[in-house]
Amino acid sequence: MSDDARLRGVFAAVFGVDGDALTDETSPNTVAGWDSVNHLHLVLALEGEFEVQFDPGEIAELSSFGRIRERLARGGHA
Amino acid sequence: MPEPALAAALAALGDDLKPADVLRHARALRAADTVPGARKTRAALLASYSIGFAEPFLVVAGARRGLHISSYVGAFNQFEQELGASPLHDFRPDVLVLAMRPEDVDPEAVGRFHASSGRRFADLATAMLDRLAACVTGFRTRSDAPVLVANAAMPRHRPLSAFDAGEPHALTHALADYNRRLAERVAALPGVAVWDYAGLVGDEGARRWTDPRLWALARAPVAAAHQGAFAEHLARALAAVLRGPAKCLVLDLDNTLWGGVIGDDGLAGIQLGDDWPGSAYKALQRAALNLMDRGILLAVVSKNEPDVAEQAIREHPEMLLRWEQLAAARINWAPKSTNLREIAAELNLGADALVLFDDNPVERAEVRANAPEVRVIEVPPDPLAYVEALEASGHFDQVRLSEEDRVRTELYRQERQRQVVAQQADSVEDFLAGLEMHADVGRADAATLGRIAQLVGKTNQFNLTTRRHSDARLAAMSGDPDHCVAWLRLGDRFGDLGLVAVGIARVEGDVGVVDTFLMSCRVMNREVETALMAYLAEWARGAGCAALVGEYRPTKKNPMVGDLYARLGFEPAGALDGGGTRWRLELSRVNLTWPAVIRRGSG
Repeated sequence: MSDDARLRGVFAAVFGVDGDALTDETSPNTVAGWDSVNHLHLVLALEGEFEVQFDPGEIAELSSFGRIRERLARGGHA
Repeated sequence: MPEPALAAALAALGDDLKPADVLRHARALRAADTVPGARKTRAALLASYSIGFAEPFLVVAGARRGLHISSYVGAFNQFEQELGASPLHDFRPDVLVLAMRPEDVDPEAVGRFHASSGRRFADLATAMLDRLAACVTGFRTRSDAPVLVANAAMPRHRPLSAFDAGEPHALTHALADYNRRLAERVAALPGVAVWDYAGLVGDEGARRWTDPRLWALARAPVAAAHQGAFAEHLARALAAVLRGPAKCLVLDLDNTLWGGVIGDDGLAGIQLGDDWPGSAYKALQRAALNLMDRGILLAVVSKNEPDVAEQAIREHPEMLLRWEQLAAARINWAPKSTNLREIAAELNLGADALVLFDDNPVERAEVRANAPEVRVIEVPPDPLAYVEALEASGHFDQVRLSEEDRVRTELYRQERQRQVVAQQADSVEDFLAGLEMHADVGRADAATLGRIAQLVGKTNQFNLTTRRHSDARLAAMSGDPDHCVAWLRLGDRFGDLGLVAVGIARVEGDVGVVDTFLMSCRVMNREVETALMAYLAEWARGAGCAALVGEYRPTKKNPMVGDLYARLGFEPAGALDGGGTRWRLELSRVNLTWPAVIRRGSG
C-alpha cells in the first residue's frame, strides 16, 4: 500500500471519514470529532503506522491533512 | 454501522492491534446495537487523570471479555462534583470505576516526599481514603452497581532511587501502606472491590508506563505501548465483578496433563516430570491445583480407555493431581460436549460454570459448536505457554474468597462419603437420621453477608424467586427492622457443609412476604428447606404477622422448586403478574415445625 493510502486509512480509522475525500485543507474545522483528544489519537495512530515520533511542539502543528502529509514526507514518507 | 464492520471488529479481537485499528474497531463496536456473546455494560469512569483517552481501547478489550461497553467519562479530578450531579446517575451505570492517583491529587506530597519526612503523604493517604469512602457511600444512595477502586502504583522515579526500599519511611513503603489500608477499607464496603492498578503498572514496568508527551499535552498517563494492557486489565476486572467466576476447570489428559498419548505410549512413555518437556505439563497441574486450593473444582474429560487413563492418574509417580481430587471424570469415547453436559449435571452446575482446557483444536471446536455455554480456553500449541493461557483467561477471577471457597473440594469429598451411606441405608428416614445433622440459623451480619451475596448471585436451581439483589441492597435489608435476612449453616457427622441456605422475608401489612428463598443443591432432600422456612415463620409470627406469603417465579432452571410451597403446607393463593404462583400459610392455624432429623444449634 502506498504511503498516501496508508495515511488516508489512518484518518478513516480515527475519524470515521471517507479517506478519499480528504484534501490538504482538511482540518479540525472541517472534521467533526477532530478534537484535542482525537488529535492525540491521530498522532499516536500515525506514529504506530509510520514508525515515527513527533515532539510536543510538532504535535500542535500537525493541524491539517496537508501539514501531516508534508511532515511525513520530510521523514521519508511521501 | 454496517454488519461487515462489526464482523471485522470481532474477528480482529484476538490480534495485536495497531492504534488505528483499535479506533476503527471501537467505532464499529460502539455503533452496534448488540455484540454477539457480549452483554451490554454501562461503565462510569472517574479518574484523577484523563481516562477518556483509554476509552476506545476499553471498548475493544471489553468485547474480548464478553462485555459490550459504553462509557460515561467524567471530567478529570472531579470525583465529588460528578457524583453529586445528575448526568452520571442518569447514565445508570452498571459499574463505577474510581481511579485516584496520589501524584495527581497532590504532586508535592509525592514528588517532594522527603520535604516533610513523608508526613504530607501520610495526610494525603488518609484524606484520599476518606474521600473514596465518601464517594462510594454517596454513590450507594443512588445505585447498587458494583464499584472498582484503583489502588496506587509506584511512580516512575523513586525519591531515593535504588535505596528507596531500604529506608523504612520511604515512598515505597508509604504506597504499600496506602494500598493495604485501601484494601481494608474496601473489604468493609458492600459491592466494592480494589482494581489492582499498582499490580498492572508493576507487571508492565513503571519506567515506560507514562509517555511524558501524552501526560504534558493531555493528562493521559498511559503510553501508547501500554494502552492495550491498561484496557485489558480494566476490562478483565469489570468482567470479574459483572459476570462472576466459573466454578469448574475441566482438563483433557493426553498432551494436556501429560505429554504424549497414554494409550499409545504407556505409563513409562508419557512426558511428565521436572525436566522439559515433562515440566511444562507438571506446571499446568500445579496451576490447576492452585485453583483448587481456592475453591475451583477440577474434572477431567478425555477420549481414552477408562482403565488405562485412570491407572496413569493413580500410578504415575510424577502426577501432582490425584484421582481423589477430581470432582468428576468422564473418560470414554463420547463427544466432549456430551461429557461436559453430564459433568455439569453431576456437579449441579450450569454448563456456563465450566471451563474446558484441551490441547486439541478439533475437540474445542466440537464443544464450541455443541455446548456453546461452556467457556473454552484457546490453548496455544506450545505446552510452555499453557499456564499463561489458563491465567490470562480470567475465567476464575474472583473478587473475594469466602470460607466455603477455600474448602470446597473437601466438601465434595465428604459428599462422596454421604453417597456411600445413602446406598447402605434402608430408608430415607434412616439415612437422614444417620447423618446426625445439626444446623445454626440466624440473621445476616457483616460476617455472613459476603457468603449470602454469593449465594443470591449464583443460585439458579433451588431458588424460588431468583432475585439477584446487589451486595449493597442485601446490606440495607439486613439493617432494616422490617426485613429478616436469614441464613442457615449445616453440619453433619462427615463435616461442616457451611452456609448453605438463605431466606429473606419482610413485613407487609399484616403478612410476612418471602422475598427470597434459596439453597445450595448439595443439601437437597435433607429437610433443610423445612428448617429455614420454620425459622422465617417463627420470625413472621414474632413480628405480628397473621400469615406467611411465598412466591414461586419460574425460570428455565428452577422447576425443581415448583411444588416446594405445596410440600411445606402452604395453600395456593393465586397467580403472579408475569408468571408464577403465590402461596399462603396461615400462621394461626398451621404450625411449621423444625424437622426432627436436624438438631438446632445456637445461631
